[in-house]
Amino acid sequence: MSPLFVLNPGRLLVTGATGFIGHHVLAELLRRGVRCAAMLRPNLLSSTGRLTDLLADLGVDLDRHTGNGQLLLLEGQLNGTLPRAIGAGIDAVLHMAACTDFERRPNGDPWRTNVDGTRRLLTWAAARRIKRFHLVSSAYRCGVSHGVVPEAISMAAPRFHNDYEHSKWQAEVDAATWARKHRATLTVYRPSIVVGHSVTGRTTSFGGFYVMARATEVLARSYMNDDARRRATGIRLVGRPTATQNLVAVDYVASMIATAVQDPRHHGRVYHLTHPKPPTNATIKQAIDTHFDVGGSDFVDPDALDEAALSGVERLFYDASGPVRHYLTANPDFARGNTDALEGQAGVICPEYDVGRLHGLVAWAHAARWGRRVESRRDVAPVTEADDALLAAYFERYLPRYVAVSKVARMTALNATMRFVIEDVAGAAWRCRFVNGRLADSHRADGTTVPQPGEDFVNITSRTVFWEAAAGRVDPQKVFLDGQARVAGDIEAALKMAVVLHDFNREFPCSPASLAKHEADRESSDASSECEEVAPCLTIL
Amino acid sequence: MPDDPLNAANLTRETVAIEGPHGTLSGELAYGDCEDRGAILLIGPHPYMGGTMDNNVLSVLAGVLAAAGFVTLRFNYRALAGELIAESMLSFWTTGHAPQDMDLVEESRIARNWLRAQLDQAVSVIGYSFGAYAASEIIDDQTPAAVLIAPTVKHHELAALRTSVVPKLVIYSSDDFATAQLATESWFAGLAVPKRKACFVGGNHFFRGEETALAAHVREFLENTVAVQPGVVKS
Repeated sequence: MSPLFVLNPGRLLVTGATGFIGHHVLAELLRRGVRCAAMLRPNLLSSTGRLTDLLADLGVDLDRHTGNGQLLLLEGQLNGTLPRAIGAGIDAVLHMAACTDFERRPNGDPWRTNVDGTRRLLTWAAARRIKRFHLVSSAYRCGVSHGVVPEAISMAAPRFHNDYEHSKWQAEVDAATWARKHRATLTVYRPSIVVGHSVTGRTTSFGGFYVMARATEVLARSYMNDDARRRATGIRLVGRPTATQNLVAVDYVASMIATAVQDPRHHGRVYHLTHPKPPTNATIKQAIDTHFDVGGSDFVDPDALDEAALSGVERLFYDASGPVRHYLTANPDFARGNTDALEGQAGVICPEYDVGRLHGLVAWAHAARWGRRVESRRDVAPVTEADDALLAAYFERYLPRYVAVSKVARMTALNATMRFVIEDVAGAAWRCRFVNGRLADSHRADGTTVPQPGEDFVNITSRTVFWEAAAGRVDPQKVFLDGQARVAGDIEAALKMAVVLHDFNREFPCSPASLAKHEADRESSDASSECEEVAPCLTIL
Repeated sequence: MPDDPLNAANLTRETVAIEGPHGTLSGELAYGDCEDRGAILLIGPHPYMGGTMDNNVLSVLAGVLAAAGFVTLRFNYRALAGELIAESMLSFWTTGHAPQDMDLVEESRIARNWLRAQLDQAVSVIGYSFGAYAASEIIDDQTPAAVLIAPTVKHHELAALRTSVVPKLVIYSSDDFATAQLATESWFAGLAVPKRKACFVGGNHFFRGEETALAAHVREFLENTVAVQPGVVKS
C-alpha cells in the first residue's frame, strides 16, 4: 500500500462519543465549530443511529454536521481494529472512551479498555505523529488519598479502592510516558462524580450517585403498602452527614473540556473537573428520601457499625448500594488551581447542588427507570371504517385542494394517471389523474393490482407506510426501493412521480390526526354555512 | 437484500467529507484488514431516481469488494440535494435529463480525484444506472477498469466507451425498465475492446435479491483485470 497523504489539516479524533460525558462533549465541540472525527464501534450503522439519537436529545443534528463535513464517523474499537482514518487529517486526540465498572470482569475490563485500549490508541497516535492528546481520566484515580490531591500526574501508585481507580491511574501514567517520549502535549481532565444535566436532570449514566437513589427505591418498593414502616426504616448509613460527595453536572464537564480542547493555551495541564462546594451526604439523603417518601435512616460512623448485625432491611439496602458505599466516607480534597483559571477564562460556573437540584436529578433518573430499556413495539391498530373514511378524505378532498396550490401545480408537463392501493384496508383504492400538473380527478377505484387501460402505474402499499409518506416522514421512492411498496406498470414514471409526491408531502404534510381535525373543522364549517377555507393542521402529527 | 457485507467484522468503514462545487460531498470508505488490491469509486443512480450511497447494489458491492482487499468509496451527490427544483424535475420528467446532470458527473470526478490523491493509486470506477453514465464520462487513461451496471442507454449515449481501451464489464438485466435488453446489447456491440458482458435473465433494474451474485461477477472481473496481487508491487 502506498503511503497515505493527509489533505485536510486539523481534525480532532474523539473516542467514547456515545458515552455519557462523550456525547455531551461532542455536542459542545460541534456547536463551537470544531472539526471532529468520532470513532464508533462496529457496526457503524447502529452506532451512528445511537449517536444520532443522543445528539438529537441535546438539540444537535448529526446529519447536518456530517453533511457539511465538520464531523466524520470512523469505525473502530480500542480493543479491535483502529481506523486508518484515510484523509481525515487528524492532528489531535480526545480520548474519552472508558469502562466504568469498578471491579474486574471476566473479559478483563476495566483494565482491558482503560489501560490496554489507551495504550493501543497512544501507539496509533504515535504512528501518525499526533502531538496533542487529551485524556479524560477520573478524579478518583487518586485512590485512598490524604491531604489535597494536586493537579499533576502522579507516577507513584497509591492504594486503590477498586480496579477502576487503578486502571485510570495507570492510563494517566502511560499517557504521560508517551507524551514525554514523543514530545507531545498531554492534557488530562479528571471529573469527579458526573451527574445529569444541571437544568433538565437528563442522564444516560445511572451509576455512581444514582446507585444510592436506586437502593432507596428498592427500599421504598419493599414497603410500598406500609407507609409507617417506609417512613421509619431505621437504616444505619455508613458515613458522616457533613462529609461531601463531589458531584458535577455533565454539561459543566462538557463545557470545560470543550473550552480547553479548543484553545492550545490551556493544553498540557491537568484539570480537576470537580465541585468547589460539593453537597453533603445529609443534603443528598434529604433529596432522595423526599423523592421516595422514605425516612428513619441515619448516618453512623464506619467504626460504629457491626456489619454482622445488620437488619434485614439494612442488608437489602447495602446489597443494592454496595459498589459506591466507600464514597460516602472517602472524600478527597481536590486542588483546582488550573480549573479555576479555566473557569474564569471560559466564564463557566459550576452549578451548586441544593436539595431542589438534587431532587431534580433523582426524579429524572427515576422517571427514566434508571436507564432500563422499555420494550416498545409500534402498535398497529386494527383496521376500522375510520381508516377507509380518512383515506377517502385524503384522496377526495385534501389532495385536490392542496395539490392545486402546491409546487406540483408548477410542473405543467406532468401528465400521468396512477392508482393507489392500500392493501390492508378492504376496498381502499383511488385513481388519480394529473393533467398538466393539475390533479384533474381523484376518485375511488377497484383494488386490482395491475394497471388498467389509461393508467401508467399502480402503487401498492400498506396503511402504515402510506401515512408515513403522507406525513412527509418517509420518501415514497425509498419506500419502493426498500421493498415496502410495490409498483406495477411504468416503473420509471412511478419513480419520478415519487419525487413529486415526496415534495408535496413535505410541503403539505398530513397525518390521520391532522386530517381528522381538518375534517371535523370542515364539517363544523359546513354546518354553520360558512365557506371559509380551513388551513391544514400541519403541526398536528 | 442479503446480510449487509459492510457489517462484516473484518471491515472498517469511515465517513469522509469531500469539498465539491455545490457543497461538501459526504461519502464512506470501506476497506478490510487484508492487503490492499486497488481502489474503487462506486457511483450511484440519479438523485431523482433514489440515488444515494445507501443503495442496495452499491452497499453490497462496497462490502464484498472491501472484503476482497479493495478500498471502496461511495458518496452522495450534492448538486440536487435539498428541495425539489421544479424546473429541473420538469425537465427530468419529460426528457430523462436534469439540467444539473453534468454537475453530478463533475461531483463523481471530484470524488475519484480525491480518492486518487488520498491513496496515491489509480482508481477503477463502478457506475450503476445513471452512475454508469457518470462513470463513462470520467474514465481516463489512468483508469484501470470500469464496471457499468444497468447503464441508462435509453437516455445517455455513454459515447466515451466506444473508443476507450479501459477494460469494461457491462452488467444488465433482461427486464430493465430503463433500457431494453436489445438496446443494451446493441450498444455493447459498439464498444471498444477489452470488454465483457453479463446479463441477469429475468432480472430487472434493481437487482433486489441478486446483489450478491452481481457482486461476485464484479469481484471476479476486477480481481482478474486490475487487482494488485498480494505481495506484488504495482508499478
